[in-house]
Amino acid sequence: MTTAASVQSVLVVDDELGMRETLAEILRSVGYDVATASSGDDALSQLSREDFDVVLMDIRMPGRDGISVLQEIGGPPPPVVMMTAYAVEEQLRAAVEAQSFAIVHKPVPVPYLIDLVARAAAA
Amino acid sequence: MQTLAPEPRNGTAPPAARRGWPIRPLSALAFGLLALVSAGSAFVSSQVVTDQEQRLLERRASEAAALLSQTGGQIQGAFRSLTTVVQLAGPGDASFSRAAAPVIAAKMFESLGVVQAEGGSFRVVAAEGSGLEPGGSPPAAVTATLERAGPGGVFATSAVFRKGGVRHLGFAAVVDGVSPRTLVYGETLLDRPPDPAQPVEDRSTRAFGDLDGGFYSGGRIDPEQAVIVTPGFDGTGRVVTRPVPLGVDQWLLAVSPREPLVGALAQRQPWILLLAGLVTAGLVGVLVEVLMRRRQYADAVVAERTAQLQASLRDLDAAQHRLVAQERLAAIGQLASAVGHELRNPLGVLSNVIYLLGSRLGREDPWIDRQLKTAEREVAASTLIVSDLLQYSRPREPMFGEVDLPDLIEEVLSVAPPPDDITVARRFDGDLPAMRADRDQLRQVLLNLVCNAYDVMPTGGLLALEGERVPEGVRLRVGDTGAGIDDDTRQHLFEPFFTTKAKGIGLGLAVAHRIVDGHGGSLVATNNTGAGASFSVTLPAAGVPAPLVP
Repeated sequence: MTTAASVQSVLVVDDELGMRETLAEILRSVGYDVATASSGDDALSQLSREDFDVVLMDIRMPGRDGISVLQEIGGPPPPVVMMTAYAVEEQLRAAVEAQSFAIVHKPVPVPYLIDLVARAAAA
Repeated sequence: MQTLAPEPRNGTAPPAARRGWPIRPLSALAFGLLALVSAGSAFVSSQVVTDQEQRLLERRASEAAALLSQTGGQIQGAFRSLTTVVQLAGPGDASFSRAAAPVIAAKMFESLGVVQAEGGSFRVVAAEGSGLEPGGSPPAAVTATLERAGPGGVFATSAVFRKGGVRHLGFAAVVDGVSPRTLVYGETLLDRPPDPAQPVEDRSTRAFGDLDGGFYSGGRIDPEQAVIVTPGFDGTGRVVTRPVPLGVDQWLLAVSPREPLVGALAQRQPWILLLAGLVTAGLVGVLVEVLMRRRQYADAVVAERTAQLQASLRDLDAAQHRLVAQERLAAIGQLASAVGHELRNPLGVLSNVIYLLGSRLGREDPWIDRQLKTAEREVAASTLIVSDLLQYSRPREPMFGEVDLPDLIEEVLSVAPPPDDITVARRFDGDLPAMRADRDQLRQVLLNLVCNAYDVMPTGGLLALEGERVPEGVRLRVGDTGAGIDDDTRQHLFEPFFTTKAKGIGLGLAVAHRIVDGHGGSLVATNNTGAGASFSVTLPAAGVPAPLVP
């Protein structure tokens, strides 16, 4: 959970503007410091510059997708919550499950998402 | 892979036609017809043989009568000579005796005499042989005969009479031109004792040895009047009679065959025909039966093979239809999937926006809260349709995790908040374990059950959400106070595209059932004892070994 002393940071990665901005707004409304990225490359460059406590990332994106980003993150990775509107391909599922904090299927109910991010931040 | 009909097994006998008759009607008919024909021909043949026999008998009788007539002619000749002698020499002359002696010696007569009318009676004038004495009278039995006799040697015969217990027969012919009435009279002895010197004749070689019969004085068969009769002939049976003229009288010849005149073979001919016909009929019947059985067997084999072929064709046809349907469904699935994915994001954004609006406006205002809840419910319903369609067309394997049921229930109620007039009653066992489930999929199941419950209670009611621990794991009951489930609906409840609602596509319960199946759990619908229906989802608890799910 967030505390006044240390505001936790979340990176929201989604190519869809509406989803990205509403998710960011929701997380800000519950007290996170939120940054957004609209592509995988954007996310990787932000992750290389900054440390985030939690990453909330869509799997399917044009260009570099979420799975690729997950595998490219260097250093000690932050907990990543993967979001997908599709079934994760079987051969990737084990790897994605191993490397991410959680996989959730869109649409994600807001209370559940807030709870999930809080648990990821505490991890 | 399509399941085709099992390969026809060679050597399996086709089902034989079972019927009450041990043989086919046609073979019975063939046998019957031929038997009838042979019986008919046997009958006709027997008629022909009988007819032939009768005609032969009559011809033989006529021949015998002609022969007897000839014998009568000999007697007449003898009488003509004797009357001529008496006429020329006079009644008392010894020349009569000289003429009569050889006739007696030839055993034609026992005695011969000349009788003359004297007053009302007759007197013997001359006699030769034994039985007549000159000066005596002829037997009274022959008086009528003496009066009937004609001139010119045309003799009359007497009825058989007995003299000294022995049967005799009298003959008489008038001597012309002598007065008073003078006649030559002869007697012959019937029932002559057999002559031991005479060898016993073999009748079968004699003329007319094939006949039994009798020759009767007078016009009828009368044993007393029998002149000649073969042993054993009594005038009964198949008898043919012929009148035989003798002098002025008429005798009767009666004959019957000793053996069939047509011959034994001809006599048996009808029976031979019948037997041969029956044997032929039997053979033909058997032949027809065998041919028919073979043909029936062949027909049955052909019918069976044809049925198998047709079944295979039907299966192929059905398989092709299934393939086409699957392809069509796959195409629809692709489309649904594409549309669904495109809708998921905006719906997700909408629900995010509703959340943000709620947190900014505050939900203490009941009016705002009600509007937001309506929006949430509608978005949830739309999302559910998209999710069901995607799950149905592209089923996703569950990703198992631990799911806390009360927690998930609260989430579901926040995503799809109940309308104002529906009261929610929650009851959970205190020691309820976490469930082993795919949270997103289980949420979809519960959303389906809860939204269905909202739909069946349009004017309000009670939504019961109860979680209890059961031996299999955890059971959740979603109970409503709606109309309940009728029998017809129950049969199709979990079929895809079956719906009783005016809205909806009928996939919710089918998808829910499929998801629960994929979890190794069960989804059961029951009617409540009071009002409404209940849907119970039973899933394994987390921490217990997952059941084998294919």
